[in-house]
Amino acid sequence: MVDLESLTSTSETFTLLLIFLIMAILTVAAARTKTLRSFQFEMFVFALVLFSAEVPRVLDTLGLIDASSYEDFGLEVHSASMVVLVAFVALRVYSFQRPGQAFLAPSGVDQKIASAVKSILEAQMGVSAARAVAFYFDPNIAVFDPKGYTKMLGKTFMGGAGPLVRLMVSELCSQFAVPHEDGMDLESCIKQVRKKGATSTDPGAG
Amino acid sequence: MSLDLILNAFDAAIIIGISLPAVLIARRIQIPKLRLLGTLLALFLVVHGMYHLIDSLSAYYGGDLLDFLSDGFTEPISYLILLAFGVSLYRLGE
Repeated sequence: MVDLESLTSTSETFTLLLIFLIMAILTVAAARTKTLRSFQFEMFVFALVLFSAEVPRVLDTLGLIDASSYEDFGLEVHSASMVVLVAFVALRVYSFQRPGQAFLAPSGVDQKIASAVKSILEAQMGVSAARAVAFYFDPNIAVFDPKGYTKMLGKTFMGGAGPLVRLMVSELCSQFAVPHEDGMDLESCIKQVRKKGATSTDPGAG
Repeated sequence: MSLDLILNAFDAAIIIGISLPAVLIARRIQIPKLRLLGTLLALFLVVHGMYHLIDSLSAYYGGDLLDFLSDGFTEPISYLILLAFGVSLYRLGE
């Protein structure tokens, strides 16, 4: 006869290890994007709430700490983490289904760059593919970590992103009226656009 | 009704609810690496929703089998899928 209680206890130890690993990987992924407006950061927030709910519960189940008084609160925090996850995924699903319907109109130069990056992706790759990229790799990442964004495009399209990035650089320079040099990378382009953005920007006017 | 049952049933409802559009989106993505991300996220939502559903049944009926199926089986599997999703997300942005 299999002892289900001891099997459950072994699985709980494995669960604890998994939660630590999830927390670690999502923390690094979020830190790399250098912006709070990214799916990676949203997943980090979800993992943080989940971590604070699950770790005391599992440690209590394993008999390592006495968190019995925390039990109900832990359940509520776990539910809160699910609400956080559902809200973030729902917002991204909404953006995926209705790409033109932004919750907030772009105001600062950074938002205008992100909006321009999204439009360039849609024009070059088609709306459906661009929306898929934006679902996981928010165009805001291009503003705050253009090098990382370029690498991500390269990995997603298995090295076939060179022409796309070159077109993006050319379009951004043209839209924001900054000088475009041959061989200019996305990082230098966005740096110049942001520098110029402090004075005046209207990508739609170009 | 216990708090355990209510919260697990609520979690199951919202997660399974959001997993449906997540599955549909994953199916619509044509780019292989992003399709994998979408599939892993949708799979996590489905399996974690199942975990909460079984846990709410466990809170209602009791018994070691349902307890094992929720805390000992579906929960670690869902976190394993979430870890795979996290690793894929990290590797694409590396």
